[in-house]
Amino acid sequence: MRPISAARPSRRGALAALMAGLVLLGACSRTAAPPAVTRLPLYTGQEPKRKVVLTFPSSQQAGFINVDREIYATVSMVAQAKQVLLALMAGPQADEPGAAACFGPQAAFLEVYLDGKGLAVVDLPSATVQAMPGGTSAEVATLYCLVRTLSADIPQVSRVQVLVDGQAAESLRGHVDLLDPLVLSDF
Amino acid sequence: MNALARCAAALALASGLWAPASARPLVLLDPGHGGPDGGVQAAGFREADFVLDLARRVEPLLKARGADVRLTRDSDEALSLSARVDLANALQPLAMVSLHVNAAFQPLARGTRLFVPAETAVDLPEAPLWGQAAGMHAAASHTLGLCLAKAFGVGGPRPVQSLKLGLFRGLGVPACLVELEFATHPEDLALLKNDSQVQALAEKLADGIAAYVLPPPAEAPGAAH
Repeated sequence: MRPISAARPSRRGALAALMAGLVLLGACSRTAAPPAVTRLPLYTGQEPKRKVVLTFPSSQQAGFINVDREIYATVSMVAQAKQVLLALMAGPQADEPGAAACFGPQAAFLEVYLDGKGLAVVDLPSATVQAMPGGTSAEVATLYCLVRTLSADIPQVSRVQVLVDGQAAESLRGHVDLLDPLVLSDF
Repeated sequence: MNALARCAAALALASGLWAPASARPLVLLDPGHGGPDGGVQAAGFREADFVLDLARRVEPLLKARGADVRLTRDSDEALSLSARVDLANALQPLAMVSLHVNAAFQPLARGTRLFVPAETAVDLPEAPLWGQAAGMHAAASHTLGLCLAKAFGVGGPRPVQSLKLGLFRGLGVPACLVELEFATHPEDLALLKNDSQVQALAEKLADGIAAYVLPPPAEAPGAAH
């Protein structure tokens, strides 16, 4: 009988590892589920509020209009950026008839990062991108409103890098170049 | 065009085995989107199919005017932006015109929009190489855009807009991306579904491109001024 080394997996252990591997392989071979959208609470509701300015496309004419909103002034600037982004994605309210949406329905983000050197990274799920109407003008509207709103409301932000499903993307829907961070002067 | 054909064209060019058969200027038409990327879709309308049909209509019109024409894709196939750029850089057409249909969040938006590479990037030492490549042809692209604007009757203070589009990344030829009408506007969408109106769009495209790539017709001897 051969002695079993402590560092060597037992036959039962090896079988378990094989089974786990097969299960993992099976999971990987199936169509990947879309990444989960962040739903962590961004504020307690006890923080003071502060005014922010959201930019939306004008619904009545060419161009854009600004609307005022309030967010909780959390200690975390990332949490503030996420509140701003959620408000932007939710679109104009009923008492803002001059404004049009700049994202499609059910828009969401996967994550927002700030690097502290002026860069905000906004990671969008592909479902949100596919819900946009397409076309250069719609893409420009989405990205301009995103860059302008984050730049105006989050002092640490001057550039915005957009990712799709955590990956660098050539564009949202085949038009505006997303491989470099966007700045306001790009528009 | 499939990947093999693109590769063969690039190799033939690089090896000097292929040269244009005539002095006819080459135009590269780029039907946007394709394959799983249908582009703008509305009420039975699919942008990828529409612009391919449009390119096929423009091709004979331009040939009849004296240009040679190539298409970046001639079927409903997926083609990345970088693959389109690689093909353009290999073929070195006198003009590349990318065909698209627009969409907007604003319900009233309509009409034709023309986009060309930004001119400023080339002047900035810190500009990325792709910006410098596209910027080198910014002035020519702007002229191409103005020729198309005239054909389509696009006016206003900015008939041609500079924009950082993915198609212009690393592009080494004059180019213009044309957004023909808004599929999100009911009247524009009706126009896009009308065969005779689509043919009229093809004629305008051919006129605008020809005005850029072909010399103006010589005046008849003794023509009165």
